[in-house]
Amino acid sequence: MGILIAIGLPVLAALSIGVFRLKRWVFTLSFISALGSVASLYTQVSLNQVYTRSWMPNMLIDLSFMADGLSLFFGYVVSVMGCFILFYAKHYLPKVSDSNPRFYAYILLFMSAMLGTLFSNNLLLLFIFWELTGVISFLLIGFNTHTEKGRIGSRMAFIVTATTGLILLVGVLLLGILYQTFDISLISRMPALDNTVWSTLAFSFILIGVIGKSAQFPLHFWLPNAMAAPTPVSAYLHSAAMVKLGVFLVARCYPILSSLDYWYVVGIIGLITMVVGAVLALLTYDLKGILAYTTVSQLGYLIGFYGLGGSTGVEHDFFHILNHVLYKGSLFMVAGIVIHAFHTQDIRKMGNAFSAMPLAAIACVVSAASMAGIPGTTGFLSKELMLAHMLHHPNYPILIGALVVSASCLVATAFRLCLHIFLPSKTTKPVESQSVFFQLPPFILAMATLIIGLFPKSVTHFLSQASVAGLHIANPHTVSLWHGITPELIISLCITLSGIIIYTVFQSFQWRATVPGILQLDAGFNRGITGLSCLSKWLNRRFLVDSIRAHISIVLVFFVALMAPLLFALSPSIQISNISIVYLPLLIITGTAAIIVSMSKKWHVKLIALSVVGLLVSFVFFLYRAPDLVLTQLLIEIVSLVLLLLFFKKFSTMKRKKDHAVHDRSGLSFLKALVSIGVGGIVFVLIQVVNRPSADNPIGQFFIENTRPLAGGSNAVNTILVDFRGFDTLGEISVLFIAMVGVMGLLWNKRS
Amino acid sequence: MNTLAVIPIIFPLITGIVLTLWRCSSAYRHAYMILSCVVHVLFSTWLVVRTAVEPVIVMAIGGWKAPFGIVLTIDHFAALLIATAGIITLAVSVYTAGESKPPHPLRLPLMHFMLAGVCLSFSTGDFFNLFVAFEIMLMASYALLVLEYRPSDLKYAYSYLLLNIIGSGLFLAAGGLVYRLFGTLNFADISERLLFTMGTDNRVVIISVLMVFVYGLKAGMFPLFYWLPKSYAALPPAIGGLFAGLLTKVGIYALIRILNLLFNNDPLPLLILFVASLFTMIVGILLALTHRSIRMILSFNLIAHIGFMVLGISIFTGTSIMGTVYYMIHHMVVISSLFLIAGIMMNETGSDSIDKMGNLFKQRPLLSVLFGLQALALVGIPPFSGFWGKLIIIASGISMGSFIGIGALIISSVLTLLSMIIIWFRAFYSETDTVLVKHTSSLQYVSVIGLTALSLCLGLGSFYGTNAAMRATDQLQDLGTYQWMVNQAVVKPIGGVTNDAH
Repeated sequence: MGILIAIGLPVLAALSIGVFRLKRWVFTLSFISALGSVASLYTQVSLNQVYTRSWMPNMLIDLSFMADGLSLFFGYVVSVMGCFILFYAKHYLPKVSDSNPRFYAYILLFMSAMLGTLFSNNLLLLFIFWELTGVISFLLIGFNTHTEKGRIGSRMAFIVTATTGLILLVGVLLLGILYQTFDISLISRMPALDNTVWSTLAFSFILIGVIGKSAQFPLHFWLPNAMAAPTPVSAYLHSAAMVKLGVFLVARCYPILSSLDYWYVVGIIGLITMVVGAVLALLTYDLKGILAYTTVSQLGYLIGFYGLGGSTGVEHDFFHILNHVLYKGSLFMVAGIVIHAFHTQDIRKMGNAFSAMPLAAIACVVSAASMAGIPGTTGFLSKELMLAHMLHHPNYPILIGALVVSASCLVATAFRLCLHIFLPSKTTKPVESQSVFFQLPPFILAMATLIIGLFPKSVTHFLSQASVAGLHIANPHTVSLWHGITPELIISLCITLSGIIIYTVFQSFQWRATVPGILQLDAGFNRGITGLSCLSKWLNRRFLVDSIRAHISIVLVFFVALMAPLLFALSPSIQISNISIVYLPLLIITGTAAIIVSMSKKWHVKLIALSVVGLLVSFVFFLYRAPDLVLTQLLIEIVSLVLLLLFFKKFSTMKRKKDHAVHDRSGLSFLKALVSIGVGGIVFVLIQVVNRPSADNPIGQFFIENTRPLAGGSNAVNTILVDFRGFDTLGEISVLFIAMVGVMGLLWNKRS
Repeated sequence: MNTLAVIPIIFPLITGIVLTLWRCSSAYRHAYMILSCVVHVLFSTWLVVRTAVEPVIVMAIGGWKAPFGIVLTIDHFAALLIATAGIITLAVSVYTAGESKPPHPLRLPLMHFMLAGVCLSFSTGDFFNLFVAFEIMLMASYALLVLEYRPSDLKYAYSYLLLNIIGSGLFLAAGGLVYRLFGTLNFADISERLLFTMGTDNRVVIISVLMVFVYGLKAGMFPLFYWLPKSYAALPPAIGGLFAGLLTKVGIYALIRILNLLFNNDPLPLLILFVASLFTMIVGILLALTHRSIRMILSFNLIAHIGFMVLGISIFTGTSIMGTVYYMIHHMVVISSLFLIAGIMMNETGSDSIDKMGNLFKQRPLLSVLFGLQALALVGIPPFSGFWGKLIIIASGISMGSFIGIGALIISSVLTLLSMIIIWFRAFYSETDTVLVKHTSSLQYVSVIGLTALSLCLGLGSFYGTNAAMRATDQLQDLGTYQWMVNQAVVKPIGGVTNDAH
């Protein structure tokens, strides 16, 4: 129940903001609901609690929520960070703006969707919330609706995450088919998957979902573009919340999928992302872009960690995640304050900001130190643990190498952030000082980084309580600040030194390097979108010709192409029934007339030839002894001939428009003749094929026998029309009536 | 009771005739029309409720026993579609009543004639009668097309007219062939004879392929969709919504119904459908991406989504048909409401091109929410209505190992999303100097809100929806009961004359 309150409270608050168009007290309402969400997690939710209500039993989807260590840990991260972000946003947003309530409502909705994803105990329910986070992030990234960057960034994020989300859905469905259930708590109690084609497919589809959501290489490009969002959004979605979903899902699936042969792919992708992100962070000058790339790198670090994990489980993963959440959230908030003060995101135009925002500066230094892994911060401990873990891995040289490269780059970036923003510089003017409350949230987060970094036992106790069977090993090593002089410490020192070297090297040529073209995948993505619209244009031009003749030709060619091979393939069973000699002259005359209709250029010749065809058809009816049909056909032929003659007489003076004649080229008319003959031939063969009565007892016999006794008429055709199948006739009369209404309307139009 | 099965057809027919002949102030006419729709919806809802528990409702028209006379058979599938069609017509009627420029006076009766034809298509149990139903529906649509078009758009009507006439001609030919082959036109009788006498006859496959062509043409399947996009896009949005909601779905319905009858374990017709569905999904949505007319974008989306349904049919398992049924109902509601929303957008901005729209997000928040919700439903974002049908189709595709189909479906969904984002950015986000002119009456909003609410219900309450779809599929595939119910349809002698010949 507590989980439901935690998820529901923010939704309620958001809905009331939206529905009642609240203008005042919006912040208070949102903040209280977020706090309430945290409180209900703290007071009402206990470990391994499952809450289930049936929703769609026929599709195996229940409103089922579960609190285990993993979801509770992430739940706290998301909801507590949500409170920080709301508080921060109050000072970030303009004092008076119509769009502020909308902002709070989106953030609250997002928080609910996140909590829903984390606590879902049903894979499909998890997917539903997962997609909802994507939708809301689209609205949040594009919050500044008028900016081109916001639009492009939100489109990119939405399309990448939605596409990979659908692929994830296929993976989830495969898992569900393999386990015969979508219930996560049930699945986690079942044995891990064997290596089969299906489990590998499921794994790879899920991995694609993770790559998309957590911005892993090669889909990392959407994250820096999502930085068009207001900074509180970046701090929340792109450090603490949404991008962590991929990490969460990897952890969720670890117990069942980590035994697969290809699990190491997770590690490879994570490590590649870690290196690529860290290097790209050095090559950009946009402050939020730098932070985005370091986030990409750290997400690779977190996901790669799971990828390396042994079959018995991993340890201290929560510590790594917590470390990243704290320092990255703080750094993003600092970035928001800095951008707010400088009105630019270009780090080259910044400097001299210490006096304006002392608290933020301290927060920035501590958080950057954590990012660089300086002793005394959580980042240091995290890196030590990671190094220790890697040293035990059989492929440790590669792993350590990758970590050294990425960590050194991060050290250089950390130096750059602190020195370039806050140190005195000649080129920039001092900026106005920022309010203390504005600087408070990042400062608190930074202090947490420091305190936990100095006294790690204060949290590891709690974190170890949240351990999950199958994911975590039973007795993890304890975390402490000082283990003596170990290989890890030496490598750590090397990293710091090489980071300083990288910093000085880049400093010497003024950070002029930019992202190489081959890695600008976002440009490629946008080119792809443009390419799609070009493809669309081409298709439209090529296939959507505005010519009725072309349309008819395409449809008929398709008909021939569909039926001809079919009839040909089944030809052994076709026996052309004997055609009486009487029909031969009929066939010849009709055929000639039909050819005249299509070849002649004069409309009256066409018309007369057409009526010849019709009249001869009525002769066929005559041969079949159907006098009623003969009469009807004759009537129709005569009336339509007269009407058409009158009609064409009226319009005969009109000149043929030129564009109608364009298509009459000889090659085309040959094709047309071919198609016409094809269609005629196919219908002919069709009739011949079917014209072998196999049904022993056609119902027609009933009508002939019963027309007098039951329907009281002597003519079977009449009784069928007006009695046995009178309903058809009602329908046909309606058709005539409707046609008449249509004509009436046309005349009406003409009059008015 | 079974006699009441004819009401959903006769009622709109009578309303149509009355509205043709009754000349009075337009307020009365609109009121009468809406009232008639409400009655239709109520009655068809009753049919839905009844068929949910009871077997198929069979009415032998004129008291003629099953294979000889015409029967109307309303099972759960038919009832659901009849109800949805009624609701859409109701929404369009309300929307029409709110139009600022009075519509063509004959729009009202023609809409009801079309509804009659559509309902007859859903409920008939006779092959030739199905043809008649198509003719009623098509003739009404021709008349609407001609009356509603601006003269400059009339050229698009020719394509519509000629291609549909080709389709009707082949349909009629197919009717003759069916009679020659099976010796009967009654659905139940056909399936019975198929079962007992000609299970492996190649000619059944030939007929099935012919049906695939005929109904594929009606449904707007690749490459037979040429009649659709431009003719729909030139219609006034109200009528466009009606056409988009009802007409193509009748083709899909007929595909499901007839293939279900004629299926004799030969995969060829399904294979053709499968390949066609791939092209329909991809080509349809690719064609949408460059257009700037919002109705054009919606029309191509419609074609692409027809591909989803055809894919569902081509997988042809109970689950996939169930998904298709659910997706169909969802799509009828959502695409109609999007056309109507497009109508409101056109009212507000005075143009149909998204390039000339703008400012809607800040200035028309309600409209934005409505469009946003329906666009999400169209794309199939969970938990909105489009998701569930797609989920079931994907799941059935996985169990059949049809990953190509799933891949195409995913690509097409993503491109649908892209096309909706294009509209969203241009018409809602961009801040142009477009002056919004207020033309929209509250009635039009009521109609759109109603449809949106229905689509939300279909999404969040999809337990009931999918249950209904499951029931519809089970009943559809239970041909034995169907035959039995049709054969034992009670024939009451009228006025002492007994016509119980057997």
